[in-house]
Amino acid sequence: MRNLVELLSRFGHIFLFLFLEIVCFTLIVRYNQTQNEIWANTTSIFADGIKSRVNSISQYSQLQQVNDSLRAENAQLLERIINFSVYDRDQSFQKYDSDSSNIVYRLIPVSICDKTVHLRNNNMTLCQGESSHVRSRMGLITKKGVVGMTSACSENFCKALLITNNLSRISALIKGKDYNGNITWPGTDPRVLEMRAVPKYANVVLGDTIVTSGYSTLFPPNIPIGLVTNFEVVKGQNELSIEVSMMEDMATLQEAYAIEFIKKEEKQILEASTNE
Amino acid sequence: MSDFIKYGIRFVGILVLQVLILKNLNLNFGSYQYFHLIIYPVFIFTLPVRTPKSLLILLGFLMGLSVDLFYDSPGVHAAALTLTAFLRSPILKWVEPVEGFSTSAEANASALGYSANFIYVVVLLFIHLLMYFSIEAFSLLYFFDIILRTICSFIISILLLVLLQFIFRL
Repeated sequence: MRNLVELLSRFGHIFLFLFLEIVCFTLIVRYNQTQNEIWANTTSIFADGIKSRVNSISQYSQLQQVNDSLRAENAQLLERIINFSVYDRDQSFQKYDSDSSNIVYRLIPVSICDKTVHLRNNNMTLCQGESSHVRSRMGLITKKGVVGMTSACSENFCKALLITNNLSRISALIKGKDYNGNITWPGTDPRVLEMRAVPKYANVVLGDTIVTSGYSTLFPPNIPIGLVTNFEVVKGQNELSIEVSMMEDMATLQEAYAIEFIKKEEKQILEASTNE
Repeated sequence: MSDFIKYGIRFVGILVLQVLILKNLNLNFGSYQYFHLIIYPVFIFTLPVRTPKSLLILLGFLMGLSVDLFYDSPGVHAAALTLTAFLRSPILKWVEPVEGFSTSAEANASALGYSANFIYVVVLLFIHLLMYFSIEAFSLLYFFDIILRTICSFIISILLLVLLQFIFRL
């Protein structure tokens, strides 16, 4: 207590000075226009700098969430486009959009937990499973092209075949020219596929786009697969062997969309019955 | 009591001189104003040497605020004069004559001697003007302006101030 009194008596005038100076500055900044503006601008520069840094930190912590919601949104948009492209072309987009029974394909965003790229048969493991409605024998695509197909699913994970796999066979056609064939992977280059069963008189040109035909239940039509980089007639046959260079790079794959075909069972049953 | 009246009259007199006469003198040519006559700090300069420091600061604040009222700039003069009042004591100690002050001496030429008094007034007035113009501009962009105004106003103010001291406090 005595120390406090002593402190006050020796330095009291300093405290008074500081207090009065602060009062003066408050008066200056409040009641003088120029000083007010300069003060407001300077403090906002500092405050904005700090606020933007704090904001970027908090944004970083929400990245996972934002990413998930963006992927869901992307899936929805892509789904609309795919469904519209298989829709009856006479009607307009608004009419299509308002009728929910027009949804033929559903897209489910999946992320890839594990994959192999350089083996002779490449597979991957998806982080989504039956609980996210991913089933076996669903096609997997990205915006850039076809990626593969799911093979077996458990509650939370799925095994999938990549295109770069001996067992994969995709029905495709040459865009614009409508010649259809089958795409397999010859096993040499992880980015190059082979398309067969296209008649040898087909006027294929280098650079043609190869898209899915929609004939299988796995993929909707018109999903891009790759570009023609080379073609030649198979010796002694009536077909061409077309080298297709994939647009999607399997090595950098992180996420994909699984396609659910709503009317799959109906189509499969019908095809099975007519084959008898 | 008579002290209070004496200093009260000084306060009012200096205030009147500053705001009613000196404020309206427009010594500026061209579009930009560099010359301002500011002599009201003399009130703080010539208070008795033994006034308590807190009282000095408080009086500086009040005088500054009163001048502000007339100059329409709340707080600007008050901030400058509070600082000057705060710095008066260390500077007075610095120019103190070797034998010290007598108890009731006022801080003017009769107690300090003309040279010491001149130094004391010059230093304090310069500090006051520098602080005043800095706060008035409120931004370091105008640094050159501030220095120019300080120097110009200082030259004319110090002349008038010394003259005033000579006339009134012989």
